[in-house]
Amino acid sequence: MLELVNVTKTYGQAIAVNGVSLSIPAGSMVGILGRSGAGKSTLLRMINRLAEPTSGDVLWQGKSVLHLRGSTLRAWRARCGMMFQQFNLSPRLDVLTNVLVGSVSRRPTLQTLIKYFPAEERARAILELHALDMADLALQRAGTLSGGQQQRVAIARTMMQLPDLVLADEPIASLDPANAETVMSALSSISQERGITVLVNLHSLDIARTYCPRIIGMAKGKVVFDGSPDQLDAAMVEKIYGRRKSTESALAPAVSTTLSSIPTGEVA
Amino acid sequence: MSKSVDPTTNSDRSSWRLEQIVDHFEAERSRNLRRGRLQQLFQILVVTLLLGGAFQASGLFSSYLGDGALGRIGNFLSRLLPQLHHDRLFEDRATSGSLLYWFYDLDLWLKLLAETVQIAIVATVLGAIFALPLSFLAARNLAPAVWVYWTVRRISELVRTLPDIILALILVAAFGLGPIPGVIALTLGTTASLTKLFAEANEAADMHQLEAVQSAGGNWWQQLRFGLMPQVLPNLASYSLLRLEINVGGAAALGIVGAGGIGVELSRAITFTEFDTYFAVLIMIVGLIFVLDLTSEAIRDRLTGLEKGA
Repeated sequence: MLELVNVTKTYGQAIAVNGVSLSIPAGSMVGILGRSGAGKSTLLRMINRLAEPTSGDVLWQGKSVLHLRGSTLRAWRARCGMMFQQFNLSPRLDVLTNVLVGSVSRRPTLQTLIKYFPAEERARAILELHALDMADLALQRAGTLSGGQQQRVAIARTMMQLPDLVLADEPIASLDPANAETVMSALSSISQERGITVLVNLHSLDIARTYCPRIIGMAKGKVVFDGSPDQLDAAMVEKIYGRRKSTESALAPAVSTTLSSIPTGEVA
Repeated sequence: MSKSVDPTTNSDRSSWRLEQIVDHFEAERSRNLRRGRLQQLFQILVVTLLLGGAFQASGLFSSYLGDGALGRIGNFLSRLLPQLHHDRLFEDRATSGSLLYWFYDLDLWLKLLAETVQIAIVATVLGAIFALPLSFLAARNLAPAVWVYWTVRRISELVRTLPDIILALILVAAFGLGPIPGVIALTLGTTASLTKLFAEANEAADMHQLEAVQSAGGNWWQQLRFGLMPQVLPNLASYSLLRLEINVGGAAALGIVGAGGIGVELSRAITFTEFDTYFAVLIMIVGLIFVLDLTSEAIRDRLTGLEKGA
């Protein structure tokens, strides 16, 4: 069970996350929706302490993770696998090494610095890649792969951490629809088959509805929706996004029809 | 232009007509341009004044070089050239007018040239090894604390302001003649300058890759090893090769102060006014640096090619 208790994060005057309280049972798959700047990324980054909450508490299995320091903090980070929009692999390292990076927190520092990993870690890495249909590319440079392939490498790296929890920060925002499906179903099976809690920031409503039994909507740092896909009706969507999704149709005529009409009432 | 546009009261743009939005933007843009032009004018003025002062101080245009200064230069240039005889070019070194007579101490010079290269290589390798950890501390995005960054940067600047030859002069006094003071002097200079260059490469690195390792539970060293090094290694190698070229030139000069290498022959030739010998040694040094340039360029091309990935 992951619990957030009244978590707030401010950057100077700006409030990124404003008094968020959530409890997320182990093994659940949760989609987090919201506009850019709604505080989704900050929320995930406070869980693995890449960002420090200004106030509030984050608890895993009843114990606060905010006091962790040094090696216990690194161990906690290893238990929270994180995935990123831009994959954040090392493009010049081969795929296998990128996956093995997921095991560095369990390995002696000096051994990792000379890139020494024992055979059993290599075996786990190649099996994780195989599970994602990527074993053939293990010795290629990561930078030569397509976006979808790179994100699958990132999943394998995350799995190498033996995580209890996966924090995926817009993992499909720079992928085409087909690759997005592949990555989302991989995350979904991770949650169902291994009982890993998955928190995934998303932009697409449809994807969230399809893959996430529980959806959280955020706006201006606050949770404005928390429920199942069925409960996410048009009014709720408007609450999350501030207006209806039909922005495309409003923009096109403004450019074509010369200085006569312009969408007034810019969203405050 | 409609008069209703007052850029100072732009509180509610939503009620503006489109022309007003355009006019407002244009007014702001021309204000910006005017400010930019004034700044430029001021900068040109300051630079002109400084340059004028510098030229005045250097006395380049106003000094009197003495009668027949051009003649003296001509005389010097003619003494720089060897007395070669076209039908005796390939005779032995005892024959006046042959190439070997000109390069009369070729064996020694080649030996000293090799020593010069060795000094340069050792100094570059050691300098790069020392500079690598220092460059982490001297990079704003990696330094564990601001004071560490500041201290390492300032020390590196301090060492860089000392020319290698001055360092060597001091070290020769401390260690005696020979290549050791030369190696130490060049190593110090190389460490300082590579620390700066490496640190700048580090600062340009994509920090997201380090963050990924951090989020996997990696410590500082592991973040550097897997997030940073793969990114910056081609750059670091390229800078080191560049520094190697500079160091060969530097090592050639070191002999002048007795710190090993070919420079000792240069200084001897000048002292004994053997200008043609000086020229011969100079040709060898230029040839060496030329070959080195071509080699390191080929290596650099390979490295940057790899960087683009294939």
